[in-house]
Amino acid sequence: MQYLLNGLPIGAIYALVALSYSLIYTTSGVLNWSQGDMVMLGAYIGFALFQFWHVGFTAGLLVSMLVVGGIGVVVQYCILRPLRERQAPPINVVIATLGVAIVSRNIALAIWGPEAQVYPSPVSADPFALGVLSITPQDLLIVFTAIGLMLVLQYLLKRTKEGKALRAVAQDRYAAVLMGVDTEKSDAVAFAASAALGAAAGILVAPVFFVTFNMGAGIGLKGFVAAVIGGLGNIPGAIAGGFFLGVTESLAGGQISSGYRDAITFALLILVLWLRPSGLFLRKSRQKV
Amino acid sequence: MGANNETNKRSMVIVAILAAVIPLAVSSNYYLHVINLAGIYTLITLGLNLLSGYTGQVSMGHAGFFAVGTYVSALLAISAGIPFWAAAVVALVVTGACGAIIAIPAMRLSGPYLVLATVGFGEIIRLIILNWTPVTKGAAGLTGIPLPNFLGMQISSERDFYYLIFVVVALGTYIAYRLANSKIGRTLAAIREDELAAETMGVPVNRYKVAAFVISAVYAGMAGALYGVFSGVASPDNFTFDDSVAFLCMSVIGGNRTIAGAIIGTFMLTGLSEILRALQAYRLVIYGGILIFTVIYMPQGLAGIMASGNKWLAKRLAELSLFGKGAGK
Amino acid sequence: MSECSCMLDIQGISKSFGGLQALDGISIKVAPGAIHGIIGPNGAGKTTLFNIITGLIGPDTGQVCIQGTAVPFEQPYKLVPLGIARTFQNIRLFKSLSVLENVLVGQHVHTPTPVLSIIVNGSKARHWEKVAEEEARTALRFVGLEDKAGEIVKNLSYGQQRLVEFARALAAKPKVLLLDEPAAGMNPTEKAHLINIVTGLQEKGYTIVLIEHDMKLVMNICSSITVLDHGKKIAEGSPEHVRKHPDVIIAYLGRGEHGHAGSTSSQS
Repeated sequence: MQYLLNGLPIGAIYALVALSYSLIYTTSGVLNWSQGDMVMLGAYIGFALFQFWHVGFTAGLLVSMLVVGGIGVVVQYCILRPLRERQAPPINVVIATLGVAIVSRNIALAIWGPEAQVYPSPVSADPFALGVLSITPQDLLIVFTAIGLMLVLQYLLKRTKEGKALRAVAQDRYAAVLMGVDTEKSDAVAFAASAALGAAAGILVAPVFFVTFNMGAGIGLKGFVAAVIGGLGNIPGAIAGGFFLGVTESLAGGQISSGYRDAITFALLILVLWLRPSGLFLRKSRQKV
Repeated sequence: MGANNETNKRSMVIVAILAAVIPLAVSSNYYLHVINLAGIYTLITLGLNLLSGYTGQVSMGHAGFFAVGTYVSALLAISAGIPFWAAAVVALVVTGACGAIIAIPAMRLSGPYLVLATVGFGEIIRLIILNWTPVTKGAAGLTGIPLPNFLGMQISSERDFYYLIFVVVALGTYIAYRLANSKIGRTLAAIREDELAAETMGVPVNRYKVAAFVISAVYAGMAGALYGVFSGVASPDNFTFDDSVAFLCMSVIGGNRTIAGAIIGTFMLTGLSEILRALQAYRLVIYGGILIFTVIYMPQGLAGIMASGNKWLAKRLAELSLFGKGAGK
Repeated sequence: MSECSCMLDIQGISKSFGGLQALDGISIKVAPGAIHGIIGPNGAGKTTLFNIITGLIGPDTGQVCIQGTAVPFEQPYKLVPLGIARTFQNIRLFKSLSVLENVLVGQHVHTPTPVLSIIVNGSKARHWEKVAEEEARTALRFVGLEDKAGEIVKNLSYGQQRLVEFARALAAKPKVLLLDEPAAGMNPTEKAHLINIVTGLQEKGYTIVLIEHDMKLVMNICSSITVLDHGKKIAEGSPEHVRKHPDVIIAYLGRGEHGHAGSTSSQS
């Protein structure tokens, strides 16, 4: 049971990253392998803000989200848009996002060096008791901030014009074009939102893991796994997938073996995909013949 | 395809001559080492082109097959003294079996789901190697992999390895070329283009997918066996997700729908990696930038550029003269 | 199941998706050498029926027999050896491949794939490749596209692509050819060419089943017609019989369809 609780904060992080993947995939069909590095950039920017201007947690979070969101827009405009215009095969797009990942990772390395940086948490990491279980305020901060961001996203998607446009594009891109929706703007918005969410995940996770140039790799991959489990493109599925993965990982690591933990997770994933080729929560879409 | 038979034969003779001459021309052992490494990687890329380029099953887990090839052959040689060739054959069989195993769930999947399954496979292999310490020595890895012995001659210098690797790569390229330019290659391409239509025309798609996975796994397994004796050591750090990514890049940059592309892409990227070493910190930034640039402006890879040479240049110049938006097609 | 002297025996096929009954107990007997049309307003279940016959989906009940042999469901690759080939409503060609390569894939089951001979470029491999190529070119010649054999399909016009799909299905050497809206998107010249091809095929002994919306074409070339509406068979018989059938007229007129039975205007 404790494992379940332990899995929640990392599950929340995975959920945020999974959301990012699904958002981009559902609007432009792109698999953004640099998502994990948005997390890393977010963490570094928060760290830089803190180190030079003593910016606090909340402000750091917001500024970082803005900056990385901007970076996301730039990436979308300069790289993804030309690829779409040239009707590049999906594998080329994958390579392009991998290129972005490599570039961001190494720019971070060049700027901040290979040593891990410490980003202090605004709340204490000391566990307190909750009945028979224990939890830390930090865990609570992560989970509640993440949930808060997800709620904000839901609101933006349902109530704002850009959000509705995005949902239209996600449902049927061609129809959206016919209805006069600016699909390129939606693509950019999706990228900005995803990058911002990634940055938030980075800030939230920074005090737990140290800030290093390749911290994004593992989180990015896990977030992708979570998105796929929930059904790529399925927003609530991504959230469910994220928490599911976090908890499963915690259980597998604790109960079975910590070394093989990821192997178990991946084996589970392959099993899920075999039985449900389109993810746990997504209904298999019928091909139009 | 058939019309080019004469040009093919001629170019093969040229390549053969060049290949024989290279070790004499290249003075530095270091450069020969890099060429040898690129040769080994080419085997992986050849298989990857057949699987991902021809059949359209994108794999980001090929480091897994590579690892199986290395560890199986190395362990047989170290613990049971089995000679290289026999150990390599066993490694090929085991790797092929792995290919079949991952093909079973993979054949139901497509797009990102397929990619993820292959990533999962690669990671599972790496983690097994990392954690199964009694057999694989875990993170410490294997050392002292014995050098291969061929008809009494021991293969030990870079030059020796060059000839060994060259022969294997030449054979591998030939087989891949023949497969690709035949009914089999055409059928694989049909599966890539429209799986459903292919199946309706009588193609047993699943069988072909499994075959493609097995073939590409076997190629990577052979590369693994060679890598083991070439470097003498092996550790799970050599077979990470990043390595799988690197192989995929070599495949795509070279042009993953051609056989020549496998060779071109692998050598270019391996060479690039070495050349950029001098630039220290920004080396990988440039590397990444080149990946992005290539994929946008050379969608069919370098092999595609070489095939259409002047046309490509003309198109780029035309695009530049339209300020702002790209020219699309 | 009752024996019949027909080529294609569709027996009691039913299929529902969710709560929607797409097909309800459809039985059709297609005589050898017939050109049998399946018509009906949109949503009548025509393409679903085709998809079931060709193994893309499984029915809830019923079975399909070709010359007495039952057709296995949901295993599309077994169809060609049994003698069934089809074309698709939305063209499903291998776009990056050449015209000839597309048609060669249709040939797949009719020539062996000798792997070892292929690897060493042996005489067996070369022989079968030559045989396959000749068959493919014959099919292309029949539809009039032999000179375009080397073109990449992506670069052809819509009408030409439809013909390539035709040739590909012919290369599969079927006994029964299932055509899903073969005339869709064609201009009058192309349609006339299509009519020639289809009647030419009938003369050669093929049995043809086609789904079409172009009434003029259907009435022109079909020897027998089945009319579906909302998943049920509402009329069947010769073109004259169907044309005058009251239920058919209601089904079409009731939906404001153009080109209803008896009219000379053709559906676009």
